[in-house]
Amino acid sequence: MGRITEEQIKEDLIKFIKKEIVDPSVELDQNTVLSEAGVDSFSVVELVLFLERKHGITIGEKSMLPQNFRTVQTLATCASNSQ
Amino acid sequence: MQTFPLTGFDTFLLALEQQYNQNDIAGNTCYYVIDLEGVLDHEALADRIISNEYFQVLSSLRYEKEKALGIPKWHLRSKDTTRIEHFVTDQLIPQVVLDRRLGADVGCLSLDTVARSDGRSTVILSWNHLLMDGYGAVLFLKRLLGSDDSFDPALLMSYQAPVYNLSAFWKATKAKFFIDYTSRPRLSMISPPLYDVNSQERVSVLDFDPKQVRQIEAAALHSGARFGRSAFFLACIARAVQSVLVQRGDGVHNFWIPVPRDNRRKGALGPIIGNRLSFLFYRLKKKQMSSIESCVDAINNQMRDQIKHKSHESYNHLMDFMKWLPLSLYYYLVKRRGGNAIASFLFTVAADHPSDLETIMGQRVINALSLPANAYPPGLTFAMMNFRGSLKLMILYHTQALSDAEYSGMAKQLQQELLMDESQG
Repeated sequence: MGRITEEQIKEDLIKFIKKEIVDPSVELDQNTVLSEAGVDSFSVVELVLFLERKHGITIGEKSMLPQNFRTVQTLATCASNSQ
Repeated sequence: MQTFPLTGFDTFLLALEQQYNQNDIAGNTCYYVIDLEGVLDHEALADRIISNEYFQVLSSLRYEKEKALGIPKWHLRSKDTTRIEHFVTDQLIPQVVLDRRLGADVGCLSLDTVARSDGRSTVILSWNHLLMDGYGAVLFLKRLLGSDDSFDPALLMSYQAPVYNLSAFWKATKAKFFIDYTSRPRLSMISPPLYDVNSQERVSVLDFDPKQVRQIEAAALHSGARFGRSAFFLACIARAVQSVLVQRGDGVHNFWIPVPRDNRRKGALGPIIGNRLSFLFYRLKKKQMSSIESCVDAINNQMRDQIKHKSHESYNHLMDFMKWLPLSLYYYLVKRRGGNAIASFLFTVAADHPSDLETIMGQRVINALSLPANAYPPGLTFAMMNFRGSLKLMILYHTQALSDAEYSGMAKQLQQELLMDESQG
């Protein structure tokens, strides 16, 4: 599998979160603080599993830090660096 | 909207309710307690509540026994005349309110105001868990006491017809096997299976200020709780309960803990009515509870595994199929494993107090507590909740499950481990 761009990861994450996690009324972009949008620990696991399933990206134990799950941008950067 | 079906989990609670009624336990009653800074105009609030259309609908819903082979349904009865009562007391929840029976046959909802001796006031929403879960209650409170009380029936309930096909049946069967397997004997239970009428119910709250919350977050991360602090909380709680059993001289076996999760989309304004919960089930082995780190690791792995296999969705299918069973058979199927207990203890993450409920009738909200139902057995329920940057751990117990002395020891251990404060040891 080729390297996925950070932009592509961001786009996929936003689509997934809008489709599966948040209410359609919730506005979300790459800089939205995910915890403030209601993303809880359960949803964080869903995001990690989504990245594994969709792009084969495994976020390493050491990278599973709150700052990496703060926004779609930080998560995409972390995922991109984990490839 | 004259009649509509109960959700799968509502029906589960209905089956439990029958047993509670036989044993005279108010096991399904939940409370949301809001403290206000000043004196509340009771009459003005009562007028506002009674004219609120959400309140009118919710307090008019009744369950009636269905004919054979019918699923349980809510029926909207004529406009209810629920009174908004006023008390003068410093008791957290007045005894009259605690003694009031709320049920599907008499109405599931009440609201009371309390005047405190220090000039402050309290609003208490009480409801039977059958009607809605704690997340639904917070959505309801926003419409009841918030600035936007415009009536939108779509926010009350949103009935999605269950899927009844072979695939759903297979998933439901898998869920049943999974629950039976993870809850297999031997399990350690905090309480004896039969309820003693002399047992008393207690509510205690451990408060953590924003500085302590940061300390807890650091401790959670240090312990390996990488998906959020709830795994850390559950680990600390399991260890504290284990210590109680050790002190009793009881053999410690495995714990089985179902943890609810709100199925609503994040940020959704509804639906209010009906329990929209699925569960993750944790089986914690004695060995795993030997350290916080190993306990957190076990919780993380089980959580990840269940989400990966979409166990929560399979559980919902199971609940939808079980709705068709007679309630007594339902109860038997749920309870036959693990003796007479459903869980070693209960743990839940309550909804945060909403930021748009900062004032009520002009009075500033200074504290809020969401107290879940404390079912017996197990008779020991933990709930964590955020309130303006602070964190609360509510502990509800029956004295038959936990003595007051045992509670004191447990609370001390919990505070120590949550804050990773070895100096207090």
